[in-house]
Order: sequence, then structure tokens, then C-alpha cells
Amino acid sequence: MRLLLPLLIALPLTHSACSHRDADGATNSTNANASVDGNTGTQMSKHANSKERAPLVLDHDFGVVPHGEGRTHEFALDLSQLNEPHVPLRVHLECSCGRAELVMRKPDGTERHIDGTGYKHNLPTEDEQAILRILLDTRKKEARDIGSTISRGYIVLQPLSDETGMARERWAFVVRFAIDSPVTLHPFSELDFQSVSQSMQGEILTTMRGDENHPNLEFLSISTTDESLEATLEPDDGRTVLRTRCTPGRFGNHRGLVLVKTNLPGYVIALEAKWKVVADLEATPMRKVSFRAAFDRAQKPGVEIRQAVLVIDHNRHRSPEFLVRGIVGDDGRDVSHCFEIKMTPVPTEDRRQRMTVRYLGGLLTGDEPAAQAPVTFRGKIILAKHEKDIVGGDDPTLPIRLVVFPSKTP
Amino acid sequence: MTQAQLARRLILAFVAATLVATFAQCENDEDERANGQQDPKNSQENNAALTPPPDAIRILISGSMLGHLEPCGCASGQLGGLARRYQFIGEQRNYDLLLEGGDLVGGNTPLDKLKLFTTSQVLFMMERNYDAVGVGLRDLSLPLDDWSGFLLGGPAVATNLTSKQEAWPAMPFLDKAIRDYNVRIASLLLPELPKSMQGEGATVTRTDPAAAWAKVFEGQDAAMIRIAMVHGNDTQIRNIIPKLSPQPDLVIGVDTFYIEPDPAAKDIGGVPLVFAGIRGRVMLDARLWREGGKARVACETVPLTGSKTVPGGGGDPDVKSVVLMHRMNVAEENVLAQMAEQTPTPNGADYIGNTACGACHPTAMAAWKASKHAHAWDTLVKAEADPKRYGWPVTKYPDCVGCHTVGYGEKTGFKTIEATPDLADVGCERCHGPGSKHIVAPATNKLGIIGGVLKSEMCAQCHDFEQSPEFLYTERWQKITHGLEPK
Repeated sequence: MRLLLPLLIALPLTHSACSHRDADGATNSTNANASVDGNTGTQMSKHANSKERAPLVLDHDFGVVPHGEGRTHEFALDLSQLNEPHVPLRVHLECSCGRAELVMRKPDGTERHIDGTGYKHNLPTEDEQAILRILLDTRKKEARDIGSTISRGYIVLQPLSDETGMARERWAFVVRFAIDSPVTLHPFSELDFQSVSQSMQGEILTTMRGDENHPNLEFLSISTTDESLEATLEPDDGRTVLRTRCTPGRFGNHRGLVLVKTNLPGYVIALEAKWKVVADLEATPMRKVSFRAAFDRAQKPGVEIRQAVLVIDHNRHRSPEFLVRGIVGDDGRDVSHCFEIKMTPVPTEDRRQRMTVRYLGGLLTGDEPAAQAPVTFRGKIILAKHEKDIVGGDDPTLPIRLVVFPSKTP
Repeated sequence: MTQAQLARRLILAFVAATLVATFAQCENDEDERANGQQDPKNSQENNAALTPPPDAIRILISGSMLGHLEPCGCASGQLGGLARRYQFIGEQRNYDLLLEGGDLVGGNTPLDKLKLFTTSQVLFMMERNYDAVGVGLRDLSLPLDDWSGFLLGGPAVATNLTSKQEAWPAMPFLDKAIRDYNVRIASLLLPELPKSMQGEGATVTRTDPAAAWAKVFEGQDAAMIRIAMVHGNDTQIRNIIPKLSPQPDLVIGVDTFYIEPDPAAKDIGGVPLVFAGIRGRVMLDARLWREGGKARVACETVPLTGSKTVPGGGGDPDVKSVVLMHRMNVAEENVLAQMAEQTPTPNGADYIGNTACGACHPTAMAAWKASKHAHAWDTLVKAEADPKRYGWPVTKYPDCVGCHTVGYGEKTGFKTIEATPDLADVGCERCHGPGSKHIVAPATNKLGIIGGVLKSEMCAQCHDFEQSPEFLYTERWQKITHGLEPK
């Protein structure tokens, strides 16, 4: 039986997944289930018919749901189709805008939630109907059309006779839907500012217009959820341009929303914005390069690949180039001649460069006692900007810690 | 084989593949079934309704990344990746602990070493440092020198592992003071070390986990909050919990097969147990407190999603750059060549390439040419040329190349596009096996037939739950079906 149930479920489920749809987009397998499709919001309007049996295949097609609306569907679960009593434990649905609930409903409409244990009290009583409720909220999705999508889920059931939990089963289900957004956003329906440096302001332009079904869509007002975000609406030749500016505030990653009210009743476009506030001059993963080297000789070319950091000047008023102003030890000694520093641009990242460091020898002065092991070198590489990029006396530098441990092997 | 036999085999394969596809995430349930040590009817698996008090300890948890620095991008909607993880972590302002279970890499290849290097850069060098990182068997599979070198700067914890090596980076426990709480974090490895790591010359020794746990809490205040990151499978983890004294306040299971962590903590004899998931697809956002002396946990899973509309969008930009640097390093160090031809072929024969197969199997060759498999390499080339989505040397990255060529990693298999052009794309021998012996004596050296000698699970080597979430064997087979040559 343990193998049989998944087999029974899997075979028709696969069949239904492959089957083409009716003209209205609905699959036949949902006929026995009560549904509130077509209503906006997620309120129940009628109860599942407890007399009808839901088939083992739980498959429902919500059809095309207008963006911003919700849908609810209920599967009336006929647990008697299983050859022994099974207690539903929990339900899982893999869907970013969907939620699944398991409830027991009485004829008067009152419901109780199950508590996730395998005890008998979580079985439906004689006058109760076990309901799997799927709630779809398209507001959790970005404002764009989404073609036919399948979300999968499962109910975990435990046979009442099972004292150990070893015979738990999964009852698989699928829900299908598509989303129709009344608005077309270009280029994207999200705002990804990436890094916003202290001296710069991020700006993204998004054009908005109603789609072919909503040519008269109007954008009425705009607000944001974060004071770092400032947005304006600008008419532009029959369309509207949303100009969103991001002003750097506290360092770190941030997320917020830009909300645009429309003339569609209750419909607000929410654009998610992400940004990271960073310093103008950055080195990642950190301002430090450390490695091991034999102090008495140069490292072989090629090893420097792993002795690297990424450096960037986010200030677009300057060129992205850096120059090495000097390499000094913590004792003040100039050791520039001991290291080779190379800068290479990072493909696809126009301002970022990879700085590699190779030891060329020369840290030993020759005065060290022969018996004394070389001590770790600690110093810093000072990166600076070219003269042409130094404006008004602002001479920014990016010091990078340099630590060279003596090699363990001779 | 008669048509009936063939049909029967296809049906069997269909059923097997269907089960694989439909229940791709059943592993944890299987483990639940395997657990017979405690009464699950006492499990409070529905603790979503728990309301944490304001001073509850907030813990962000990840684990079992297994070298998945970022989703490969083969399918849309893939979860995970270091950049998205750090975007999420960076947005959080008020967490108390950042814990990583361990098993950062999946194996012991030159690529794994570079992955660990990059992972340790992100986890231990960037602004939001982890508070503790457990040590799993996969981590130990790397040479200790490599592993310890990368983790030396990080807060590695291994409570029941010891080493005489000076460079051993792990501590038996780590402490952190959080408001009025003193928190001690331990990490236990439940499986025995592999034979190759035991005996004379062993660099690491595993001790009894329950004894090691007891030792680190010996003489400690009962008010101390005790967190255990436990490596093992679901059953092993459930079984060890009752043996841990003093009782942990939270056990984080690091089970490398536990694909989809349940947000509701499992209650194992009063100890909340959560799982960290695999491949770094999600993070757990947990709140831990004590109520009447009993540990309580309210937990949410946070799927690490990328941008749905901006190509390559989402994720921490700095971490993305570090991962990009990793991609470049892999290409520059020519890791692809280092990992080629490392293992014997499955049937001992050599790969001969599609052209040779096509000479005797023109019908199958024609069908193959019309399939997407015939353009698999080109997919990588196009991805490499698309700076918005990739833009890095995809054709030099072993994880990608392995699924877009024939026999990569095996003797006589794909090496580079220049050296082995006939083994680019997903050709005949990717499914049927190397053909050098078959081509000499076809009658006595039959190759595998899908649905027959070969299992349809072979498809899942590449078309797995992440790379091909919609994969159904029966559907896809129709796209590549090529049948037998007419007599």
C-alpha cells in the first residue's frame, strides 16, 4: 500500500499534466470541486459539496487571473478513497503567490484547522468535510503577464494505524494559472539599482502604459515606502515615464516599493526596488590581500590569480582607473619594488577591475640572522586616482591591507 | 526484443521517471518513514502559530550549499546563490546569529577547491560575517591543507572532530552573548569518517557525538542557550537528539538530501529540530526562546529568488562580482582540463563520437540532429556571449560543460571543443555509453538502450529537480525518440 498510493496518484497526475486544455482553459479533473473562481479577492462564496468525491488527481486551473486580484479554489478531499483512515498532517504548495490550507468544515460553514499531529481528532468527523483550500494572490507577483504556469504541492497524510510515522504518504496536487497584467512596464517591472555609491544617485526610467485591453489606463499618483526612493510620473508621447531616483543613505542592502495608483478601481502597481549603498571606492570581498610566499625568491607567474581583490570607483564623474601610489610596510619601509600589481578590467562590469598581487622577492634585507625564520610581512597597498581625476583637491585613496605569510616549505 | 517487451519496459521506465519527477522532493518523507525511534504523534509540526516574544533570539540559518555558488541558470525560477543570500542577509537589520551548517562544497575536485576559496571569501571576509560554520563530511573530503587554509579565518566549529594538525581551523564550540543570553554553538558529525580518513596517518579523528556534546556543556550554567548543528541523515539526527545531555534548545539538521526544509520545527522529545535544506536554495529565519524552561522555535523559510524580469538582476552586487571572479579564475587556471579524463568509462570502452555512430544509425542520427541535444554546446556558447545573463566563460566551467557534452571527466571523453569537437553536445554516447567496442563487434558489445538496460534516471543526472523542474520523461522522450534502425 505504501507504494501503491503514490503510484495511483502519480499516474493520473502525469496524464493530466500532459493533457491539453478545454477551450476555456479549464481541465476536466476539477469538475467535482467547488470553486470560487471568477470572484475577486479571496472570500469564499459557497461551500464545497461534501457529497461529491474529489478524484485522487487534484488538479485545478484558475485560468487567466487579472494582476492584482485573488482567487480561491477548494478541493473537497474524500479520504474514504484511501483504503484505510489517513490523518492529514499538513500541506505544502510551491508557489510564490499561492497559499494552501487544510480545514475541516461542518455543514453550517464553520471550520476548524488541524493541528499537524497524527491523532484521530484530526480526522474529519461524520458531518465534516476535509477541505484543501488554495488561495492565490497575484499582488505578490510583479506587474507583468505570466503565461500558463503550474505550481505543485502535496498533502502529507499519516495512516491512523501508523504509530511510528513510517507510513506517511504524500497526496500530490497541481494548480495552474496565468496572470494578465493591465499595465506594460518597460524595460522591467522591478527596479534593480545594484550599487548606489555615496557620491552618486541611482536613477531608473520605466515607461508605463496600459496594455491592449486597458488602453485608457491612467496613472494617478505615486508614493514610495522608503525615504531613499523618490519617484515622479512624466507624460511622454502617449505613455508615462516613471522616473525613480535612489539617494544613498545608510550603507548596506535595501529594499522598498514604488506604488503607482491607477484609475482601475483598487489597482495599485507595486514596483519592487533593491539597492546597496556603498562607498565610492570599494574593494571586495574585503580591503585585504593575504597569501603565503617564500621570501627569498619571486613567486612564479600565474599564482597571482588567487591573490586578488576587485576594486571599483563608483564615481562616474571620474575614470575607473586606479594607480598604485605606493606599497609600504607597517614599519614605514617602501616595498613597492617587492610586488607586481596588475589591474585587469572585469568583463561585463564596466568599472570594476581585478587587482592581482605577485611577490617579486626583496623583502629580506640580508641582515637577518640565518637561524631566524622570516616574520610575516604586514603593510598596505595604497591605490589612488590619476591626476586628471583629482578635482578640487579631492584626492581619494583606497588603502588595501597586504599580508604575506612566510612559506611553510623551503 | 518484441514490441510488447519494449512497450513493457517503456511503461516501467515511464512509471519510474514519473515517480522521480512527481515526487522529486520526497527524500525527506522517506527519511521520516525510516524514523522509528520516537513517536511522531508527539511531534508538534505545526508551530507556525507560535508567537515569539520580542527578546527571542533571531537566527538566520543556511547549510549544505554543496558548491552551488549560484544557480546555473538552465531553468527560470531557480533558487539560491550566495549573491541572493547576501542580499537577504544585508537587508536584515536585527538578527542575532548567522549560522552556516557546513558542507560548503560537494566533492574533492580542483573546482571544489576554488569554490571553497570563493565561498570562504564571501562568508568570512565580507561585511556580514557568519558567526559559526559547521563541518561536514563533504568539507572533510578536501585535503586538510586546502580546507583549513580557506577556513582558518572563519568561525569553524567541529565539536566531535579533533586533529593534531597545527592548521586545524575548527573550535569545539563558539560562544556569543546576545542581550541577556549566553549562546553556545556546537557542531556534531554523526556518520563515521570514511575508511580513507581512518587508520594510520589520519589527520582527523571523530569522537562520540553525545560525549563530545556533554563535554562542551560540562559545568555550564543551565541558562546557557545550546544550539547544535548536526550532520547526518534525518534518521541519524532524530536518533541522536534524545541522547544529547544537556538537552539542546535548537538542533539544526544538515542533511545533504533534505531538499525542501519545512518551516515548522519538528519537536523531538521537546527539542526543536529544523533542517537547513540543500544547495543554499533557502535560508531559515528562526526565532528561539524558552517558555517555562522549554525551548520554542518559530521559523520561516526564505526562498532565495532572483529577479523575475531583470536579466541577471537581484542579489548583492559585490558578491556577484566575487562569484564572477571565481568564474574567471576557473577559466584562467584551466580547471576544465584538470578535471577531464579523470575516471574510467562505465563500460571500459572509449568514446568515439557521433560521426562514427551515424554511419550505421542514420535514422537515429537524423532524429538526434533535430533535437535540442544536438545544440547543447551551442547553448553554452550563446550564454557566454550574452553579457546580460552570463557573460563569463561558461564553456570553460566544468559544472556546465558536464551536462552539455559527452563523457566529460571520463577517459577519452570530452576535453575541450578544440580537442574533442565530436564529443560536444549531448550525443549518442552520453546515454548509450562509449562505443569503441560496439563499433568493432556490435553483436557482442551491445550498448545500453533507454528504458531497457539503462535506467531513465540517467536523464535526471542533468534534468534534475532544479535544472529541469518540469521534466517528465514521457514528454521529453517524445522529443528525442529515435527508435531502432529499419531492418
